[in-house]
Amino acid sequence: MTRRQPSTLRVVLALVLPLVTACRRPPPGVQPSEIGEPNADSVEAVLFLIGDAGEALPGQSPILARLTRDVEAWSGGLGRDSAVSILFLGDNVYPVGIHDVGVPGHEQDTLRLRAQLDVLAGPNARRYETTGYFMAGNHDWGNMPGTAGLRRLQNQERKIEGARSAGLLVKLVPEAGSPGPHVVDIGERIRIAFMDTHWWLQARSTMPKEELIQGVEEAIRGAGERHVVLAAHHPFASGGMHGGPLPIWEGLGIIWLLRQTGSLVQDLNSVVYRDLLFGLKEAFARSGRPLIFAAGHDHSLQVLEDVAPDEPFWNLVSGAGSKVTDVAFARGMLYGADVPGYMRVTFMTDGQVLLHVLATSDQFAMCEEGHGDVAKCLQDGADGFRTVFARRLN
Amino acid sequence: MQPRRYALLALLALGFLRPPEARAQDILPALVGGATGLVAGGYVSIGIVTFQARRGEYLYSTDDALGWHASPILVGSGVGFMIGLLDQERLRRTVIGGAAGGAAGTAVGVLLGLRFWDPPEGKWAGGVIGGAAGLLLGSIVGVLWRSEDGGEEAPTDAARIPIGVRISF
Repeated sequence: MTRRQPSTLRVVLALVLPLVTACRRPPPGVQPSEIGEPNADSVEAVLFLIGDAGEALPGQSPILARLTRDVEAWSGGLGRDSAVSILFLGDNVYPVGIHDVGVPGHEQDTLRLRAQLDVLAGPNARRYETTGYFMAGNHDWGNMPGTAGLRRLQNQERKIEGARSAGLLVKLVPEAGSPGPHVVDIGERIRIAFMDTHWWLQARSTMPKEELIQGVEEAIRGAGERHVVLAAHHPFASGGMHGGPLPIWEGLGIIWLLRQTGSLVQDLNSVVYRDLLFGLKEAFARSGRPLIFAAGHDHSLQVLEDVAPDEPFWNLVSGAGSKVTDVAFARGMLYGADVPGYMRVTFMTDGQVLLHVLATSDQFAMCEEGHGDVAKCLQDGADGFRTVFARRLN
Repeated sequence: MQPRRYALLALLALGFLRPPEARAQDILPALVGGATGLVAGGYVSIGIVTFQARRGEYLYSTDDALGWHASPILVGSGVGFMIGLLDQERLRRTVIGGAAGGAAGTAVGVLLGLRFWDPPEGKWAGGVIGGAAGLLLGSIVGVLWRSEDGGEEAPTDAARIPIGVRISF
């Protein structure tokens, strides 16, 4: 009896595969919920965090359908003005923001934004002044720097202002062309500071950047006893495609190499992005750190606890509003998954802050025409939502 | 510089390298030269993108990457193909020169990157920029290098590759 010798290919695979898999450690999956659903009587305010929802057209998104349902339920349940807010964390219109009127694509772009505006169009949302805060992402800038990009964002701002004139409580924050921070206080306990981080990435001059950092510092320092939520499109930390490990074969190795050199502006390790994070860390060191840094950009749901004293206590990445991409383990990650969904932060009257991550099955990122029964897909997708992670944040 | 200008330069380079009839059939070295030039040009393109990023000028989308940054890919593959078609010995010298220059440039670039830029990306950026510059320089030296057994002893059907550089003041 002869013993079969291992082939060269097998030997190579045996040596290489463990190395490759070791590069991308899987994120922690569904966690047993530590907390249940809060009672509406003891809730002061609710924030919904949804990002990168700009792929969906009206009537195509189970995520937006479920969010609308939740917003209606919470707005009616709390029954107070401005107790519910929705943070649209940027990339509200794929692929390149809203084109000028008369340019091909304008109608489609407008519809993509409309799908999100409609979340606030329900009777309870209108009655109790539920507010939608839209932030700018790199795609809302048309993935461009300078005046050409700003023009796309101004187009979006005009559409949002139009919806506001029609009775929806919505706003682009900060206003187009301003880096922020735009500060909003909700009730007695919450302060939200909105930043336009794509503005930072594309800006060449340093003086306004220093003013933004100074503004963040003042927003935190002036918050007093309020919980501070810093909101932007680009995350402070992420295990997703823009921040986590990248397979070496990505883009024939070219993307991987460019990532290693820090040459991809939208990645967390680019020089200009690092400058932003460094500036924020300095601001946190001087004035205290926010409870939450909420962002999108990576198309996944991630909950990351601080790993250093100059970081926000919690980094929440909620960028799975219309598409999903890979996520790997990152330092401090308590939950991470490439599933469609959004997050809810509940501020209780006793001062507790609770986080619920809500997601549906990954086949329900979108229900498009020509892929079966759209109505059934919408219904099943919205009904399929469940809490995949819950945690008290303070 | 406009992409059109680069395309024109590439065409001029190809025009200088007229293939004689006898060598036109020898396609394998030409393909090797084209493939090698493609890879080398691609690496030079990555070096340019990295250098630009260090100056604060980033690519914002994949469309941007198809601009003038990609011209070394076209030029490299075209010139590599023609050298392989016409003069295998010159191709060999070009590949050796490019490889040696690339290795030396990478080493120098890594050291400079460690010295002047923040880790961990600094050394990678320095290495890629230095490697691309060294690769380009080494390849040019390899193309222009005159072999000792050239001149009168060269075969009569050997390809002649006149290369001229015009500098405007």
